[in-house]
Amino acid sequence: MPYIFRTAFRYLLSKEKGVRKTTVYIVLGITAALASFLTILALMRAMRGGNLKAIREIQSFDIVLKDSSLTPLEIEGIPGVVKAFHFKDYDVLFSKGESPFLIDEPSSFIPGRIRAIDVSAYRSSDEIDFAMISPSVQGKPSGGFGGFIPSFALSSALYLYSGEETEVMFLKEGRTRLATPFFVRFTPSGFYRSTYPDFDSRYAFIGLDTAEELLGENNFDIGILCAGGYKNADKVSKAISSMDPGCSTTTFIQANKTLYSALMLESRVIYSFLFLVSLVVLLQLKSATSRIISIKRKDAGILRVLGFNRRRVRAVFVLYGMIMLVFSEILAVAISFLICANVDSVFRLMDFFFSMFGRRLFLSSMALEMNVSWTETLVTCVLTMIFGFLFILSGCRTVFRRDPVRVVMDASY
Amino acid sequence: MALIEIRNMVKSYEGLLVLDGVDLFLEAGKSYAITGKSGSGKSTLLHVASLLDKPDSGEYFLDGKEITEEDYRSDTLLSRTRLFRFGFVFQDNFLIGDYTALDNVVVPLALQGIPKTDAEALAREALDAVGLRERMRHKPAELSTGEKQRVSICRALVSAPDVIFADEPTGALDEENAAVVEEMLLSLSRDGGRTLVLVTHDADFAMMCDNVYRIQSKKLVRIK
Repeated sequence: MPYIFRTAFRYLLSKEKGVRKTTVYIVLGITAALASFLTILALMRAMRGGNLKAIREIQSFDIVLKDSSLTPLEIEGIPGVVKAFHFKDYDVLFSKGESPFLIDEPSSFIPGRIRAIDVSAYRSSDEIDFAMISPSVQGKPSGGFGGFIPSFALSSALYLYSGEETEVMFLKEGRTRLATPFFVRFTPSGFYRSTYPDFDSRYAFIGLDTAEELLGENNFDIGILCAGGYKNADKVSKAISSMDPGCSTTTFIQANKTLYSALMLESRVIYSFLFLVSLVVLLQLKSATSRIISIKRKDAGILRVLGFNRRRVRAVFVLYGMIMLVFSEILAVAISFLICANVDSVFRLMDFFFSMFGRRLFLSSMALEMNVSWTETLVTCVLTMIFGFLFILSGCRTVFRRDPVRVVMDASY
Repeated sequence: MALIEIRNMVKSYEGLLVLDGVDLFLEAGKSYAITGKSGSGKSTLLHVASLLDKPDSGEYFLDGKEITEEDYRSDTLLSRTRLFRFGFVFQDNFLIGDYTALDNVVVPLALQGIPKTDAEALAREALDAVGLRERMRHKPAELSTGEKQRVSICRALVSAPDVIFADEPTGALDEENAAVVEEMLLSLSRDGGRTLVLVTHDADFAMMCDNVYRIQSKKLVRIK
């Protein structure tokens, strides 16, 4: 066995013109393809994560439960549920109330939402505060959750000064909701700020008791956060339905079907593309192995004459291919990690390159958190090794269909 | 008992009948020369005798044990026999181009599993004996034809095989180098007790062997 390794290494470092050129090209080809593969996976994950995060800001719950007789505490007893709490979203129009300071301010309505939330669900632990609704929501309002808490951006848009009232027009539930609006005036008890502009500019929070008192609400929905996120929502949803058949559950995916489908479509397109890249790599590996064996056929014949059996000769070339593959994988992983760590510079370079052709991609303006996942890398490398091995073996079998010892014998005639 | 015995062997090459009912009896420590016209089947006979090729029909005995169809198919016994018991010298020396002279001689020893340092010591000794001490680190492309052939002979002999098969070993050499190689090979059976099977066009070289055969009309005819 060691001699097979030694011979394979010798061939890898061979200075023979055709062999060296082929070896270098294969290593570069596989490295480039694998590095692209891993980088695209990381990029896709970063973009998907960004999109999903943005969606979840608006509809932050893994499951929304309506018309249920179950209490949040009962739901929290179901395996896979992390947190359950009452809430209700209202479509509203915000406007500024009468100002004691300015009389010539613009008076306009800003469409938005008010979310009534179960305050106790967030106050149960010091570690779980306002950020529980969404990890991006920063800070804790000074006046507690009982009052009206608009976002800082919404307050700015309404020219709202501290202590000033906000007039909120509720559009009552029902088929004719637009026809039956009513107004409530709130004085903000605090503000919040979020990194997500859509959420930041549209939402205000009130406590459940406020909703009951001022709006006469008595039919709250239940928001559920699942262990492992929305991916496990289906399982939990089924468990809830079996406990309370009359309720209606909407999972995160169902609530965001269009966006989620778009993301899925994007994933499928990218995976198909990556599959083709992998196929090209594997076929290249197969043809390169065949090419190397063809060049080294005489050597293989000599080894056969000297006592190598067919399997051992084949093992030399399979090992040769596998060493190239492993070497390429190591290089590819290093390159993809480098690209991900310097993605801003890479994007700036790409922006500059495409701008020369009049195309403006604005890639560098994307705030992506790109990380190569170790699991993804490991799975990709192992799969590449397995399929690479099979394709190399297939390349060897094709070339060795005719015993290489014949090269030596034919030369003697 | 014969070392190698071939009985009633028939062999075609690319559809053409080359050998028809050939019998060959090789004893240990003797030298055998096979002569004949070009294309008469000398090399074919050598390939069958050295287990590189399979006869179409006939029987092959090694140390009295028949090589069966299954042995030919599995290749294990044949490869092991070539590795441990046979040595080969060809007209085209068939050295591995990427390897130095020393590495080329080490190959059969390494294949036998001999540790690298021991194998290199044996190879050095063999190359030293044929006057190639200074050329050990040179690759085949940097050696003359005569030197390459001497390396090739070293490679064939270094693992002390029972039989040396030599196919036109002096065919590509000048007179001086040919004489050196002839002497090296003949001394193997004369002084070393090895069996030499030689295929050659050179009648004088052939006549120096203990037994001389000629392939005539697809049959093997004993001359000496």
